[in-house]
Amino acid sequence: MAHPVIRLSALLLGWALLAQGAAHAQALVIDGEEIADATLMDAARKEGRVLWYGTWPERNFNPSVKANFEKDTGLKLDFIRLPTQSMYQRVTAEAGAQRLSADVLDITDPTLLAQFMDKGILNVAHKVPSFGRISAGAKDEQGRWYAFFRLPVALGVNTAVVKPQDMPAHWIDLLDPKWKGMTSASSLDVGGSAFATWVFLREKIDPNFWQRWRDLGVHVYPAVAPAIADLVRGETAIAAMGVTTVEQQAGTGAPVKAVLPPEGMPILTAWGGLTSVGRNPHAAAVAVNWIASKRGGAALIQQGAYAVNSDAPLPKLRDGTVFPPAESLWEIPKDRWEEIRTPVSEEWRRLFGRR
Amino acid sequence: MAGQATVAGFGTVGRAALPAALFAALGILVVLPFLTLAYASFISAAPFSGDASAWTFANYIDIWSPEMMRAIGNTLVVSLFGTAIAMTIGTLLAWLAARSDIPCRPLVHLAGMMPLFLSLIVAALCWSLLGSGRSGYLNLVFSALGLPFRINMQSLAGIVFVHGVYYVSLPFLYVHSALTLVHPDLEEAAAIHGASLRRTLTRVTFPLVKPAIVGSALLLVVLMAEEFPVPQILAGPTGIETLSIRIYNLMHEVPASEGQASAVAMVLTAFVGLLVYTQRRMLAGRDFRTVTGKGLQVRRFPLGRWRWIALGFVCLYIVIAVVLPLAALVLTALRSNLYISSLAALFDPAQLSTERLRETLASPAVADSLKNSLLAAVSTAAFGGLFYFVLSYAVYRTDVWGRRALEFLAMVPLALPALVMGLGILWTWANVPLPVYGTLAILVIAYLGRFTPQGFRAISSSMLQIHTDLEEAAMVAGASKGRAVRRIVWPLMRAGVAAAMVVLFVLALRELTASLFLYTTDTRVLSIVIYEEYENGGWSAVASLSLIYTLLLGALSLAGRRWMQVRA
Amino acid sequence: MSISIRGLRKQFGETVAVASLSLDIAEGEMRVLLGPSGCGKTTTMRCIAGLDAPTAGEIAIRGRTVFSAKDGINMPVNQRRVGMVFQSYAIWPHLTVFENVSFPLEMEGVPRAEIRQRVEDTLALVGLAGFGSRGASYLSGGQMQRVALARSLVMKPSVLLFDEPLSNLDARLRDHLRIELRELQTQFNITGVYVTHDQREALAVADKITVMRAGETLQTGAPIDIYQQPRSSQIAEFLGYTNIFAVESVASCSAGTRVRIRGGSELHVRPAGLIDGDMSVCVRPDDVSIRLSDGALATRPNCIPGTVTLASFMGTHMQYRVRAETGAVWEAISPRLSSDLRVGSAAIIEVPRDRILVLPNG
Repeated sequence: MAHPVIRLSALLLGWALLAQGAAHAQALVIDGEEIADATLMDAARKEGRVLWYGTWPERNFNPSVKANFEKDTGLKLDFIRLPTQSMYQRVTAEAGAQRLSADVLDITDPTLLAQFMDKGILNVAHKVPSFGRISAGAKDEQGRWYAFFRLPVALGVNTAVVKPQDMPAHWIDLLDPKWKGMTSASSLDVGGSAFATWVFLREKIDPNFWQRWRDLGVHVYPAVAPAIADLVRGETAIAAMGVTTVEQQAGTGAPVKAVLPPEGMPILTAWGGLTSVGRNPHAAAVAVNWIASKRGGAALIQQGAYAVNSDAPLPKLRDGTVFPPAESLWEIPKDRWEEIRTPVSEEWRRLFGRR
Repeated sequence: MAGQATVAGFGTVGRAALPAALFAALGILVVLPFLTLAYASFISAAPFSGDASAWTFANYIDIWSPEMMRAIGNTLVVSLFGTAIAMTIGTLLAWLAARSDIPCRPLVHLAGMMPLFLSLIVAALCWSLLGSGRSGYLNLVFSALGLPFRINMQSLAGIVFVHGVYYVSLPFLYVHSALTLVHPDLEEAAAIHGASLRRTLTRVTFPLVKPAIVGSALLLVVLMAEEFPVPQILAGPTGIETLSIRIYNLMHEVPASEGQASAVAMVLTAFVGLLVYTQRRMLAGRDFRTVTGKGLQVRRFPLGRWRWIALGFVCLYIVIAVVLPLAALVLTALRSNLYISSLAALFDPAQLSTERLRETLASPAVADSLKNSLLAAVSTAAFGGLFYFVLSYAVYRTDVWGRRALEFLAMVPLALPALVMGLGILWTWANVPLPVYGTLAILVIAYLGRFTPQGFRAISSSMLQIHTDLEEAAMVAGASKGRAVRRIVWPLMRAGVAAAMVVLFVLALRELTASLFLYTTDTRVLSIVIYEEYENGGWSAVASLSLIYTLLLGALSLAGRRWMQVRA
Repeated sequence: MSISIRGLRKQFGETVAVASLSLDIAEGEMRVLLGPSGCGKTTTMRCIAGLDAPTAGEIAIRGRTVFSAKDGINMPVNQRRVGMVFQSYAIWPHLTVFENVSFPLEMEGVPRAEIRQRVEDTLALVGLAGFGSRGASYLSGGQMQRVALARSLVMKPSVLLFDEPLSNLDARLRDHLRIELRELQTQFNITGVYVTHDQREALAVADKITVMRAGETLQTGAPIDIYQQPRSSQIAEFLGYTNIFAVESVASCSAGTRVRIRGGSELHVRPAGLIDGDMSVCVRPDDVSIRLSDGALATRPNCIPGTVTLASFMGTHMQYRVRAETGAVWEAISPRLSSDLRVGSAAIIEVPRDRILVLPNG
C-alpha cells in the first residue's frame, strides 16, 4: 500500500467528494415537511425551471405561488395566464401540433379537464408526498390531478348602498323584494363556477329560484368584470360573486364586503397536474408537490384560496371571519357534471337567453 | 394611370421568381388564414385539434338563431348610423379646413386628426366611465345640477355615438385631400358664370369630391361592422351582440363552438367583402382629380357671420372627443376604486391619489408590454415598408405575370375582419413547424397581413408620382435594372416609404382585435394589457394605462402628422 | 368706356403685384396685356373679374362701378356678368358639354326651352354642334377650349376675359383657335381683355397692347405702333428685336451720327432724338440683310462681315445667326430661301440706317 500520508489524503479526498456529492443530493424540506427527495430535487435543479399554464389571475398567483415557490426551491416559475376558453384553445392547438410545452396545467372547467385527460395531456399519475393529507374530493385517486385552488362563491354587498340593518345573511335574501332590480349574477355560460352557482341556487336553496329571481329583475352579466364594476359603483347592491373578487375590491377601498352564508357556498375549483409532454418533468413534480404541501397551502390562503393540503389552516376574510371547511362547500361531482351540463344550460337559456 | 411597365432589365428568372415570391408572401399573410377559417366552418370540431371531425354543413344551419338575427340587426344599426354621423362631422371639418376662411385653421386640422390617437378601446372605456349608470361622471353632473335626464352609454346608441365621434379621421383625411386637389379654376369658373357660393358648392365642389365621400363612407361601414372593442365594452355588459361579439362569444363559450364561430365569421366576411367590392367598383375609373396647375392659390370662401359658429362647432367637437375622455381618464387613474357617491365625491381630494398611477407605471408587466408594443410596431413598419415597396414596384413598374391578381390580393384584407383574421392565423400557425407561434413574430405576421391595403396604397401613390422616364433614363445611361432602382427610384421614394412606415407604426401600436387570439402572457402588447385589466375589473390600472397609451399615440401622431395623408 | 380702371393696386402680403395701374378700354376693343411672368397682367384681369379684391383703386365696367376701395364697393364675382376663358379650360368633368355650356343660363334662371335653344346655337357657333351629350372629360384640348368659349359666349357678355387661353394647346391648334377667338370677339363686338406672354399672339390678336412689367404699364398702343416704335430696349426685346447692343460711344460726322456698339462695330444711325445716357441699338432681325461674302472688304456703311453660325429653314423664311469679327452675334431673317449660306460660310450683314432704333434701357 502507499505511504500513510497518501492513504490519509485519499481518504480525506474521498470524504470530501462524498460530502460534495451529498451536498448536491439534498432533499427539499421545509418546516419539517419533505417536499421533494434528494434525487428529485437534484434532477429538478438541473432542469431549473417550470412552465405553468394557469387560470388564476397573475395578481393572485404571483405574490402567493410564484414568489414563495421560487424563494423556497430556487427554481424559476414561468406563469402564463389564460382565461379558461383561451387556455383550452391554445392547449389543444399546441398539443395537436405536438408543440405543447407546458409542464404544469390547471383549468377550472371539469368538462375541459376530462377532455385534457382523454387527449392524454393530463394523465401523469403522480402521488405527491402529502397525498394522504389531501381530501378525496380534492385529488384524483391516481394522482393525475389535484384541486390546486378552490375559491368560494358568496354574496358581495355594497355597504354604501345597503344599510347595516338590511345586510343580507343568507342566499334566500337575494329574493327579497326590497332588492328588486338591485341584484346580479354572472351568466351561466361564463364558466364552471357560474354554472355551479346557478345549479346550487336551484338545488340547495329553492327549486324555483331561477324563475323567482328572474321575476325580481336580476341583472345577468356576460362576464365578471362588468358585474363587479357595477357592484362597486353601487348600480347593484348584492351580487353572487367570487369571494376573492369582492375582497380585492375592498382592498382598494371600495365599499364592498363579502358575506358567507352559513347554509353553504358553491366553489370554483382549478384542477391541475403534470402534463405528459413538458420538458421539465422533475421541476414540475416539485411544483405540484409544493403546492400540495402545508407550505404551499400557507401561501395559497394569503390570497383567500383553500389549500390543497387539509393540514393547512383555513383562509380568512379581511374582517377576520374564517372560511368554513372546504368539505362543507358545494360541488357538482364530475360525472354528474357531464350529464347535466347541456340540458341544464339549455333550460337556463330558455329563461335568461344566451349571454 | 400607372406608368408604362419597364420591360427591359429583368432576366427571365427574375421575371418568374419575383411574382411567385410575392404571391407566396401574400398567400401566407392573407389567403391562408382565410382558407383555414373557411375550413373550420365546414368541419364539426376545432381545426387541427386532434379531435375526430367530419365535413358538415351543420354549422351554417345552426347559427341562424334569433340571437344571430338580432346580432345582424345590431351590426347594421351601429355601422349605418355610426357612418352617417362620422361622415357628417368629418366632411364638414374637411371642408372647413380646406376651403373656408375659418379662423384658427390648425385647430380644425387637429380636430380632424385627433381621433387617431385616442384608440377606440380607450374611447369606449372613457365613455363607459362618463356615461353608464348612476355613477357615470356626466350623470353625476346632471344629477348635481338637478337635470332630469341621464345618458346611458351601455346601449346601441352609445356604440353609435362612439363610432360616430371617433371614426371622423378617415373621412376627414380622404375628403380634405380630395378638396385640396380640386383645381380652383373649376370653382372660379362657376363663380364667374353666375353661381353663388352655395350653388358652387352643390353643383361643382361636392360632386367633384363625391368619390372620396362615397369611398370613405363605404370603408367606414366596413370598419364599424367588424369592430370589436367598442361594442364589447359598451354593450357587452348588457348582452347586446354584434356579429363580431357573437364570434367572440361563440369562441369563449364552454365548450366552444369553433365551427359556428367560423361560420358566423364567414358570414361577416361575406358582408364586408361585398361592401368593399362595391366600393372598388364605384371608384374604378371615376377619378375627378385634375392635374394641379401652376401655384395653386386656394380661394377661401368667406363664412361671414357663420365664422364663429363654425369655430364653436369645432371646439365643441374637440371637447367631446378629447377633453372629456381625457379628464375622465385622469380622474379615474387617481382614484383607487370606482365607488362615487356624488359629484362632490368625484373631486374629493381625499379620495384621489397618485399611488395607483405610480404603481402601474412602475410595474414590470407594463414595461414589458410597452417594449413588446414598440418592438412589434417597429418590426411591422420595417418589414412592411420593404415588402410593400417590392410589391408596389412589381405591380406598377413591371410587366411580370400576375400583377392584377397581386393588386387584388393586396386589397383583400380590407374584407377580412380583424377578429376573423386572428382566428385564422391562430389555427394556421399552430401547425407550422416554425418557432413563430407564441412569439411576437405571430403578432407581426397578423399586423403585416392586416395592414397590407394601407401600406400598399400609401407606397403606391408615392411610386405612381415618379415618372417612368426617370428610371428609363438611368437604364439608357447604362445602369442595370437593379442599379436604376437603387440609385434613382429608391432615393426618390424614400420620403414616401418613410411616410408609409410611420402610418404602419401607428396602426400597429393601436391594434387590439387582431392580437386577441394570438398573444401569450409574455408577448402582451399594451392594448392587450389594457383589455385584460378591463376584464379583471382593475379600472384604476385601465385608466392609468390608457393615459400612457394615449400620450404615446398622441406624441407619435403629432410627430408624423405630415405623413398621415391618405390618397383617395 | 367699356372698362375703366383707376389707380389699381394689389398687394399680396409684402409683395406688390400691381403697383398703380390705370387704363381705359373702349367698347368692342380687344386689349392685350403683354408681359413676362410676374408682371401683374393676370392679377389685373382677376381684379376685373372679381376673383381678387384690389388693395386700392377703382374699376368700372360699362359705367357701373364694380369696385371702389374708397367707397367700399366690391361687387361679387357672380354678379359682374363677365365671361372668362381659362388657361386650364376649367371644364367641369362631371358634367356633359351641354351642362357645362348651359350652366350660366341656369344660374340666371333662364327658362328651359330657351336654354336649349341658346346652348345649341352657341355650340354651333364654336363648331361643336351635336357635342351636347358628350361627357366633358372625353374631349380633346382644342374641343375643351371651345366648350369654355361657348360657356362664356352663351351669357352674351359685354366683357370677355382670356387668361392665356392658348398656351396649353399645340401649335397648329393655337393658330386656328386664335383666329376663331378674334373673329367671334369682333363679330359680337365684345370687349376683350387678353392676357399673354407670347408677343406674336399679342400682335396678332390685339386692337391695343399694354406692355407691363413688375406691376407697371410700360407702353400702350396699337400693335403696329408698338412694334415699330417701342419706347425702350426692354420693350423692344420683348417684342422680338433680337439684335440689341449697348451703345458705347456716340460721335457726329458728316454723314450723320455714328455710334460704336460694344464689340467695336460702328454703325451710322438716324436717331429720333438725343442719344444720351444708357442706351442700346435695337434692330429687328427681318431688317437685317445677309449675303455671301465676296472676299472684298466691306465698304458701305453698316456692313459687318462675319461667319454664319446658324442657318435654319423655317418654312417661310431662313433664320441666320452670324458671328461678327468683333464677337457680337447678329440675327437675320431672310425671305430668300437659299442654301449657299451655310454654317461656316463667310457672310456680310447689312443694316439700313433708318432701321436702327436707338432706345433707352429700362
